[in-house]
Amino acid sequence: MSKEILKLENVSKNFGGKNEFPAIKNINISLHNGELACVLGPSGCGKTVLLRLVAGFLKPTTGRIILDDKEINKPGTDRILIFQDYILFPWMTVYSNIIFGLEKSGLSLRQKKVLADKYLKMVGLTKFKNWYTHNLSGGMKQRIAIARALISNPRVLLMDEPFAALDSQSRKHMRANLEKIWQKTKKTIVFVTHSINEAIVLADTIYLLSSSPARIKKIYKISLPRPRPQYDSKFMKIAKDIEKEIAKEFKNNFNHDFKNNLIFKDI
Amino acid sequence: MVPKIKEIVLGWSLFLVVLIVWYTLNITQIVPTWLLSSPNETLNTFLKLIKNGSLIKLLLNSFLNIFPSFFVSVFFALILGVFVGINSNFRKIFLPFLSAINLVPSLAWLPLIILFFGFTRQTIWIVIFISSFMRMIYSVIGGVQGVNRNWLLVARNLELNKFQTIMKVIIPGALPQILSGIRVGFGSAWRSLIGAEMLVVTAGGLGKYIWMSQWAFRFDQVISGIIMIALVGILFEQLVFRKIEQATLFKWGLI
Ligand SMILES: Nc1ncnc2c1ncn2[C@@H]1O[C@H](COP(=O)(O)OP(=O)(O)OP(=O)(O)O)[C@@H](O)[C@H]1O
Ligand SMILES: [Mg+2]
Repeated sequence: MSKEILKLENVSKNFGGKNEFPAIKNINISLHNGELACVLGPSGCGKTVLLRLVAGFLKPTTGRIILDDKEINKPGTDRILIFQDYILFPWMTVYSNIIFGLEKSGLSLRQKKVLADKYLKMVGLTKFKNWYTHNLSGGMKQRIAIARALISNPRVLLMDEPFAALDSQSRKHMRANLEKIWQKTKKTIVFVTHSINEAIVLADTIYLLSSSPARIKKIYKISLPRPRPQYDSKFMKIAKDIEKEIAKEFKNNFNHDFKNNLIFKDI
Repeated sequence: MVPKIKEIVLGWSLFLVVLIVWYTLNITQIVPTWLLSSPNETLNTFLKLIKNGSLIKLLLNSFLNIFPSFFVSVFFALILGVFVGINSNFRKIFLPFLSAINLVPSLAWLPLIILFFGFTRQTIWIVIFISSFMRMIYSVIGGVQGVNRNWLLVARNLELNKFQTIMKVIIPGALPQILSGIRVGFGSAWRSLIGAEMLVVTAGGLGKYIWMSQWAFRFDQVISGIIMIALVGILFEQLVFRKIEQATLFKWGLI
């Protein structure tokens, strides 16, 4: 097994001054290089907070986050966050959006162009390189965001429900896309999702979180061969297991929001 | 097609009413003709003034009175607006001061400025500066504060420094409001210009022309000047600013 790259040690995050409340409690996660980890958790449990902690936009109240043996304390191009709603720049073309990922790199325009062409091709948008983004579909926009992230050559990709805004067809398409890109680039990815199926399709490891404050409820190692069809009996067995675990969590929190259980249903 | 025609007809209707009233007053001689020239005479005067170049000369003079100062004010409103927009201490310092100044019409500063700079072009420039700057600054501040927070996160994530973030993300992100600020600022400057030129006649321009024509009871010249002011205003609105917006905001799908 390859080397450990990202490690969360007893990470907790509290919000609010006087009425302090915990958003995340005692999270321990350890990813090895090239691992694709999915974080599965009910709405509002603290998944976004978790990613923003790793990205360095927030500081843990207690605990440490370690990347390549160094504790992180600020945002950096070694950890790129990808948003549900893409967050592209409408005043830039597809090409300019992508090389924006190299703003800090100090590369020459020619070097940037070579890299941009490579990633444009990887996400299948070469033909659209001179387009502005507003006319493109959601799936295309997210592929631009992925290319902008990859071009800066991060150690870890942090994806916050990246396909949640897409229709189910392009969602499936994007999962397959991401899987290919991941196999090609061997990036380490933390992928946050609501969808059990999405997690099982993509993950090496699934971290199932409890409802707020987020704690790790259970860890699943998924070793099914890829690509993973959802009608496969082993696939469905894992999905059932996770559903059961969530139902248990729901029973434990009987008073806690009926909504949470529904949220787990796949789209 | 029909709604379009309707829009045009309705749009011109009030102009037509004014013209009819004007004719009526003129033909019935309710207002003596030496005071109120007819629409025909006025149109002839207007065309003559265009042909012999005197209106153009006046216009160029007015441009000289407005543009250097207008451009400088755009520059400073942009810089100060960005700083006030991104920094809460700057906001605390500047906003009370700005809102106090904002209540004073720009022409009210004229006597004070004349005291120091006399009846000169510099005096007009200062009035123009105050006039357009005060309109623009609020748009720039609002635009900067309204910039999508997640754009800023992307910039931080990609390790842009402050300056790069301002140039590459904040200013383009605030451009819709900045452009509308520049447009409103120009309108404000253009109005103040005519007023200032009437008082600081030594600086010449359309304002002076209208003012002087009034002393000579040249109604036709006064109206010609006013038409010119309106035409140039519309020209900037519809051509210059519209073109800038089409080249930017329309293209990016922001409006
Ligand atoms: N900056 C903040 N200040 C205070 N509270 C916050 C902040 N960010 C998040 N929270 C709170 O932390 C909790 C977890 O929020 P978070 O956005 O991480 O949930 P999530 O799991 O991503 O939800 P969703 O599935 O809806 O995206 C929520 O109660 C939220 O209100
Ligand atoms: Mg979230």
